[in-house]
Amino acid sequence: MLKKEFKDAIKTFFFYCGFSIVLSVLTYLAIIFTIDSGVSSLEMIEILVHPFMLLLAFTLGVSFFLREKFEGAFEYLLSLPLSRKQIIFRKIIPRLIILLAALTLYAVMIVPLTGFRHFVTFPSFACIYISVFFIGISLSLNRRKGVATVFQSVFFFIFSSAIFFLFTYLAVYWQFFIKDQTAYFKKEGIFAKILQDEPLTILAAFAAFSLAFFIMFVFRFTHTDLKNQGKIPLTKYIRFVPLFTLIFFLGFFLNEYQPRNTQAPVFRYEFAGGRLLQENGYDVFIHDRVGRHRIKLDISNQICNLLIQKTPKEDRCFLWDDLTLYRLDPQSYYPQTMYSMNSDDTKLFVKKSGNKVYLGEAGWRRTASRQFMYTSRLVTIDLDSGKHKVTDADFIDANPLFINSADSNQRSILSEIRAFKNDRINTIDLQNGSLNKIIMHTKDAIASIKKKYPDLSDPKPGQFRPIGRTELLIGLESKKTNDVSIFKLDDKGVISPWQTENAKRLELIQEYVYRETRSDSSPFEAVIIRWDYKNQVHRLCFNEFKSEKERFIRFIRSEENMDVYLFFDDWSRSFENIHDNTRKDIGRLPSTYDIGYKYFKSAEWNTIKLNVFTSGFGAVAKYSRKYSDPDDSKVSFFRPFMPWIKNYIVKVFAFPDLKEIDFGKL
Amino acid sequence: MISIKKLNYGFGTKKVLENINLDIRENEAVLITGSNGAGKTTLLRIIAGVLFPYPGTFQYGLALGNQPMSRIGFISDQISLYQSMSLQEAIAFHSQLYQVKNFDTTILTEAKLDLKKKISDHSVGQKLIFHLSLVLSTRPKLLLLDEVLHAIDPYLREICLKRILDLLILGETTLVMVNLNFHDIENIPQRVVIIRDNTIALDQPLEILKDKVKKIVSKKEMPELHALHERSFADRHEYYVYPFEESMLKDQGCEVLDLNLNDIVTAFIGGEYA
Repeated sequence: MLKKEFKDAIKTFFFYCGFSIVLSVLTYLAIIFTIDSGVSSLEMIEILVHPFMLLLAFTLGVSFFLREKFEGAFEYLLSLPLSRKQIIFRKIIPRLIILLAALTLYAVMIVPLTGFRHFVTFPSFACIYISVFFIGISLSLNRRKGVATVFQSVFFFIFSSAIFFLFTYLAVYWQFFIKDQTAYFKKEGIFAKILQDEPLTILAAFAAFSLAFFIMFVFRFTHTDLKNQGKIPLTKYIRFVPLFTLIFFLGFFLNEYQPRNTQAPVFRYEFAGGRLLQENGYDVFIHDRVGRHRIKLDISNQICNLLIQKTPKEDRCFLWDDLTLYRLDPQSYYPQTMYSMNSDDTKLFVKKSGNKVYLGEAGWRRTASRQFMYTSRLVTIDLDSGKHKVTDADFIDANPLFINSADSNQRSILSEIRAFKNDRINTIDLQNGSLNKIIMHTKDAIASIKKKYPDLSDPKPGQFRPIGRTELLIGLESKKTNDVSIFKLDDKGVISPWQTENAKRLELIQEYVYRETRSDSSPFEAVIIRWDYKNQVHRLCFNEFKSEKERFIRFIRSEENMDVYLFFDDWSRSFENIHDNTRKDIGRLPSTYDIGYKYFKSAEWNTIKLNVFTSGFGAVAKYSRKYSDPDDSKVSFFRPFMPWIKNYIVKVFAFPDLKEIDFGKL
Repeated sequence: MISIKKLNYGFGTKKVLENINLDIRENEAVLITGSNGAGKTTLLRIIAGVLFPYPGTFQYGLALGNQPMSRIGFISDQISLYQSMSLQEAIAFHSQLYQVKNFDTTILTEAKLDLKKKISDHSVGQKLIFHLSLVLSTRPKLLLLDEVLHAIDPYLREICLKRILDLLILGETTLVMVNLNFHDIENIPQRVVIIRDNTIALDQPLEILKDKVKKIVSKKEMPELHALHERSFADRHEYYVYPFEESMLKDQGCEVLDLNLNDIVTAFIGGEYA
């Protein structure tokens, strides 16, 4: 019987594959010829493969008794010298093997290509996949034939999906409204460490639901009369209510209390009074010269979003995560909530002046005319009373990233918030949130450079960028040589030459990236990275200069041992997996849009090998104008039809003069 | 061989079998019959293990061993086979499950069936012959046949019946058959079970039944007779009586006739429709 069932399952599989291939090709052609969506072949595979895989699992499940139904062999099957359990066993084994073979094939061939950037992780997908299979089996006892079966199956599929969303709601309700909204983001379990915000609880509940469904199917098949199915008294099924409930809560709490892997990266920041603040996963510690103190409240809700703002001459600092601004008392290491923000808001800056803290935020809000507009607000918090006042601000279209602070030596660097709007550098009026003072026009700065260096040409797009909070870098090409001169414009409007690079290496300065200091004594370092839109990322300049430690680390992150920093711009969509020289996978970019937030550790100091999966002839073939920097809109790329894989060696910026901190000596 | 006690069965609220008590002994040939919808097929399916009775008890005897299903041969009134299989494949499949080493293809050869053809490519009669040969190949201890013979042509029917009779004569098989057509099987059943109004109305050995059911033909009306069924013609009246006793005649100059199986069952069923 196993042989027959294998044949049946393989037939179903190939029939389904044929159907899927035809449908995929038609969908693909329809999309690439009718919609200019910028969707590449790989993305298309990604879009199509997941629902098809789930449907395959469902089809294999639903077809459990398909042959018996359509050939009228049900009575023959039941009269064979096999118990009902044996029948289920002999039917399920071949299907499970094929199901898992398809999943393995998917894992080996599809996952490395697509990388689950917009979907759940592989283990979670596998969980849904198997669950859908069991639900399909449960529905296979339906004895209707033909179109009625299809409709009924579709109905139950939708019904089970509805149950899935019900679990979603319950899980979210539990996590956010009953328990603690921050706890949801603290999961570091087997699955959760791959993607923090994956709704694991939902998956567990869904898997439990499908399992219970399957158990009910086994019961129906082995204990009830198939001829009478659907007419069995409800009391027969009532006994399953506790089972469903038990399994649901079991899955729920297993997920809730599963052993967590706390191998989280460590981030270190300076803190007032020569202390070092360390963010280790979900815990935040203060290192002082006496010891290591855990901050008494979990304030780091999401990895990498801890920000710190010290106050001059005051042994306090402000911390903020995605949702809340805290004041931290270094004596007790206890954070006090100052202000809770909307989760959708963007936090722009925080500044303390006297007994007030000024917080800049932006977000979508309903106006008086009942329209939603993206607006900025200035929040003023009185430290004495703890009250806050919200004022509409007009720095929404500016770049108000630059704030006052003091470095660890209490040396004041900049006393005003800087907002960059168009070609002007403004300050922000902290009374009403308006842009008021124009410090300088950048075109004047360029004019003054060109007055002194007439051989230089006008800047290209991307060659003028603010660097950090205090200075600007301006790269201007020489009209005579291949060199590009880079100038530094400081807070006081003084322009000074800084670095010269060969133009071939500096085709387009795309971004400037800062690296933070590691201790009070180490210098502040700046790196310029060139992205030449071909196939390489280069470190162009490396220098040291004293500066305020920057918090603008949008595109770069420190790792525990401060090994590697790698910059990716938002649109660099072709990078999938990063390997070191030993071909060990050291990182993956799970999402096109948050690539800039990822960091990678290298076993080697200077070089890592980057496997670039492209879907076209260009290295950045997946570039889409939709996501591009407006400055780069002239760059065009090939639209590919067939995906393939290319390998590139990428030189990664190195920092050979960095030293490890011995925290024991602090 | 089989012991059924207080067996009930229904489809939803509709009762099909009610309080059935039946013991089938080893090597017995039992005919289950009754009017359409009486529950004959359902009872056979319950015995075959295809349907589950509730409530009530149902037990297979020791003669069927630990795995009774492997000693039961069941042919439903609806052809139930994997139709897309070729005969060869079906034989291999069946033989493997029932551990049949040498499949006897005599009937198939007689019927000139092409083993390479799919089951679905054969006629209803051919399919039944094939199914019967599958079932007989396992030399079942309990053979359950549901209205299978009427669709087979007379020549092949005779062959099949001979095979069944051989099994019965050898004492290897207990036969339970559901039939409404008795022409060919007159000599097979030893016992007749008639189901009426969802329950067993009659359970008698055929020989005794033949003694007890008689047809009385009279020129006069005999209203005092409690007949199962009666028919009136211009010149005579026919009364089917059960149980027949000599005292019923009372010198009325009537004629008493023996009945064959078909007439006996007709008398019982006819009574239902009267």
